[in-house]
Amino acid sequence: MKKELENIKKTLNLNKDVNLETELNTLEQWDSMGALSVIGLADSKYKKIISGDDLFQCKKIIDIIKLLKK
Amino acid sequence: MRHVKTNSQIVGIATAVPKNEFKNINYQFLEKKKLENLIKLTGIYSKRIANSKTCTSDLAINAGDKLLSNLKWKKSDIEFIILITQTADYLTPATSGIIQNRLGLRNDIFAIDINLGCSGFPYGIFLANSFLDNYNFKKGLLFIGDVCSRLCNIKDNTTWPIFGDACSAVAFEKGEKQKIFFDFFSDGSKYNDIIVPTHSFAGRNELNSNQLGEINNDNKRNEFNMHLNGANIYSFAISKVPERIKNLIEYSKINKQKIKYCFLHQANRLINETIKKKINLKNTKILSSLDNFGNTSSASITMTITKHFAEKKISGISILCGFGVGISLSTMILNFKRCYVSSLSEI
Repeated sequence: MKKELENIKKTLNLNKDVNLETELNTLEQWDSMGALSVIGLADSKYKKIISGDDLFQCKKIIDIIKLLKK
Repeated sequence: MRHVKTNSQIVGIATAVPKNEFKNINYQFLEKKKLENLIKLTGIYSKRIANSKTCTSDLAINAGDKLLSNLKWKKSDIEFIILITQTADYLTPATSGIIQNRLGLRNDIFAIDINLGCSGFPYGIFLANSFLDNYNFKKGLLFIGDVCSRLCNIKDNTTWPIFGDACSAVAFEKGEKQKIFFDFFSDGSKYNDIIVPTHSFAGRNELNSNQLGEINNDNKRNEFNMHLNGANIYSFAISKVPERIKNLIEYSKINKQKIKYCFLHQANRLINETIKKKINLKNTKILSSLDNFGNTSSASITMTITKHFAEKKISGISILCGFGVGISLSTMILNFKRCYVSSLSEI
């Protein structure tokens, strides 16, 4: 999961303190543009199409990773 | 996927936009860093916005007048007008009738409004071609465009910085025979992803006049405003659009090297760049108008053509692909043959 976490941090431009349990709603970068960037990451690196509806169900970073690895 | 031999030809395109330009860097409802990121991701630096008195018909009439005069067409020769818009002047009556009257076109004319957005242009071509091929019409006009900025709440940063206003007039007449290829797709289960809830019978009972509904990140919009689920649209666009385009190219058996242009609906840079990468058309020019006009909804393909070919003629095999609200997607491959493109009009 480390690799996925790094990819998400890079995509959302997050600082080092962020971990798997970080709540998404505490992140300033987690907005509509952030969501588009994560969908782009899933598509380009993981060949996965994630819908906005699935993504907005996510509460923590680990939930996004679960979608990427699904 | 289907194909048809048609005698119909697009002979001219003119586009009108409001004079008033809004530069996204001046958008007040997003902090600087986020705004810069939004501009970078969307590729939209500025767009044209209608004032509170400008309607779709105003832009349509301006574009129509210019096109008729550039083509030296007589008004009395126009036998049909099709208007594709989601921002008709009124809920009822149809705006195509208003255009007929204000442009001074004949009364014995076929005039119809069609409610489609970003996917509209291939649909419009399909219909205009059918009129010329099957019903013996000789000349007609397609009007296509929206004033979406008037539906967007300025405080909603998911819509306001994205949408710009434009309307095009497209002239059709009988010409050389050609084969065109087309593909249409509709998925109404996703109707809610881009929606203006009121002005509708479905939303009328829940209408709570002007109370603003608050959504995340301090965006604000009410039931009269456009609601956009950008993330769902993005997922749809990057999966379905490349797939349908690639399938249509394969179906057409046209050598990829011979496809001169590809005009995608101008959604935003992120979506369009992803599609571009996936369709992998190395020898094809994939042109854009996002930077200075934003997402101009149903007019985005003709807006792009106007931006790049103003006062010139466009020729060559081209892919046209519109996608968005509905959800609706349409793809067409046709051969432009010396189609005259007017300079951009501003009102």
